[in-house]
Amino acid sequence: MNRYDPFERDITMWLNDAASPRMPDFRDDLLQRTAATSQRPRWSFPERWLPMTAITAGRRAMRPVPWRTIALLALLVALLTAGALIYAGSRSNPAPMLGPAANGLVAYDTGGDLYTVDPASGTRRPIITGETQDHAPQYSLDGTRLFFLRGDGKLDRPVVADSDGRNQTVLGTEGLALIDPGSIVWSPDGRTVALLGGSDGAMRVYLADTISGTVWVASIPYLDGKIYWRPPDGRAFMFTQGTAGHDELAVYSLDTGSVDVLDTNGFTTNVRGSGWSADGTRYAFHHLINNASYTEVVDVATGTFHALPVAYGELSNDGRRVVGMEPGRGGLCVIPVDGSTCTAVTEPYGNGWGWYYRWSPDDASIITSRIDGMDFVLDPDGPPTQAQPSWMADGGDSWQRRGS
Amino acid sequence: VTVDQQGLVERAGKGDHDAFASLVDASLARLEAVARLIVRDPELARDAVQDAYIRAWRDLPGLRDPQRFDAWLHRLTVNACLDAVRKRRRRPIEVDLSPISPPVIGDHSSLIADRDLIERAFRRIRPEQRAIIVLHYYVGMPFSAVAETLDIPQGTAQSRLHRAMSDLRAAIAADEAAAGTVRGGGMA
Repeated sequence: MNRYDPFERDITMWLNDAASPRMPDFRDDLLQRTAATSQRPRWSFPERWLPMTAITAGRRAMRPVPWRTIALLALLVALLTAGALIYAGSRSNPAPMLGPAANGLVAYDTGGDLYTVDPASGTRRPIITGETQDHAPQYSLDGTRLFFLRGDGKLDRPVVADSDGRNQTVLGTEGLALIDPGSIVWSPDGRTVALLGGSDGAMRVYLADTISGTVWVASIPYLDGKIYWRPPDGRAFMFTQGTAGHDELAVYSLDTGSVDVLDTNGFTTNVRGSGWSADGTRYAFHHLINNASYTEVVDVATGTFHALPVAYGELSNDGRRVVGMEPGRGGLCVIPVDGSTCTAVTEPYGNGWGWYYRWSPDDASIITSRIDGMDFVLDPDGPPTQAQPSWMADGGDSWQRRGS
Repeated sequence: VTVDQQGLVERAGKGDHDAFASLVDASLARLEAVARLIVRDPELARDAVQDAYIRAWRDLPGLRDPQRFDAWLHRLTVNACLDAVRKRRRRPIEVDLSPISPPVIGDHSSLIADRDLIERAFRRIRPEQRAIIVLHYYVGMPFSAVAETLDIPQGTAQSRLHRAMSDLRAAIAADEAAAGTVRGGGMA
């Protein structure tokens, strides 16, 4: 390390200022937990017997065959299968791929398994359980399929299945590093799933073809922000390219591999996509100018821009409203795309950090996650509330869209 | 690793919980700070550190070389931090909302402003980039130790750190550019 580099020196000073070591208050609690935890027996570590390079399977302790547990598990699997069959028979029609849809189940992960919960009844069902570590479920836009990640502690394999967890197919030939679970988004045609990740410091856009089973990296100079598929066919998506401070909003075509730059009216700072209207006639993006944030809604046909005083907006499914952050206040607000006043739907929270929000399929609710990990449902018509329904206690990764 | 610590590691690996408690006391404050820097959230950091120590206690009998305890514990902590960020699915939307009043210009505020710039930029880079910066510049690990901790070749550790620092510089520059528009270019 070159200690004479002023930047490195500043970083070192800042790190030391930002996190002075102090004995945390959970020390005693931690030691109680470890005291209550059994150590693995020494002989159960395979590397004590074989060189690690010779070990290809995961670490497994050798234990007597637990016949009683296996019998109970078999019974449980039979019950779950019966439940799944009943549930599969009661499924409604697929949702339209674009625009508002009826609210279906909510999928979430916990402990490496995937579950659904019915917000109407509060009924929970396991859909994928077992030894695999599965997480980040996302329903397809028609609600009939489920994409999720299967991890091994380091890498994730993309998997696609029916919405009830059956017919699982692992996509691609190798694991993907450090996938951002919040980035997963299905294309409107239900064929491709985009997801962001990468282990060497450069974020990549991975594209998983759920039909062919292939996974590849989009050859684009991706910079930051979410991916938004362009309606109606989903053969192109919006992303941000460029260098920090000189951002461009661009569209990548899967069919031609070409990248076209979208008009941002000359704005180049913190440009991030905010979505497309369902009919593809408008797109929205965020930008920063004079230290103030705006979400611009652009009419593709006329090229007119309408600036909304809201940061990092998200278009509703019907394309009529935007939920985003209210500059200066830090909470979420909702504004019509042709409006000028943003209605607060939350109390302020911090200085705007940590919100993560999306519309429910029917546009009647907004689901948001706070930086402390709590999920909430908001009323887009206000007044400011932060309600956490009991069905959301374990999370709400993906809200299934259903046909009416 | 001191002789004393080596002895504690060996005893803890044989199930001596008091020895493990001594190891915890010697390392917890530092590792909790490391976790706070990587995940940028005190609650997530708390979860990650506890997870790392529980794994350490559980798997300590499998640690063949007690001298590698520090690197091993750092690895467990970094992995727990990255897992916590990834699994909690809480990707903070990093909004640079404007303060109600513009930034104050003046010599007296410049240091605070610089620290704020670094703070915001540090949040912008990815958790694994924060991890490698923290290990090298905060913990003070040489590249060889960073490589061992992250289980990557030394050359890869160097290139990843270089990339992380470049991204950090770029994020700071972007923030400065944005702030400069308010300040009327008065930063120079």
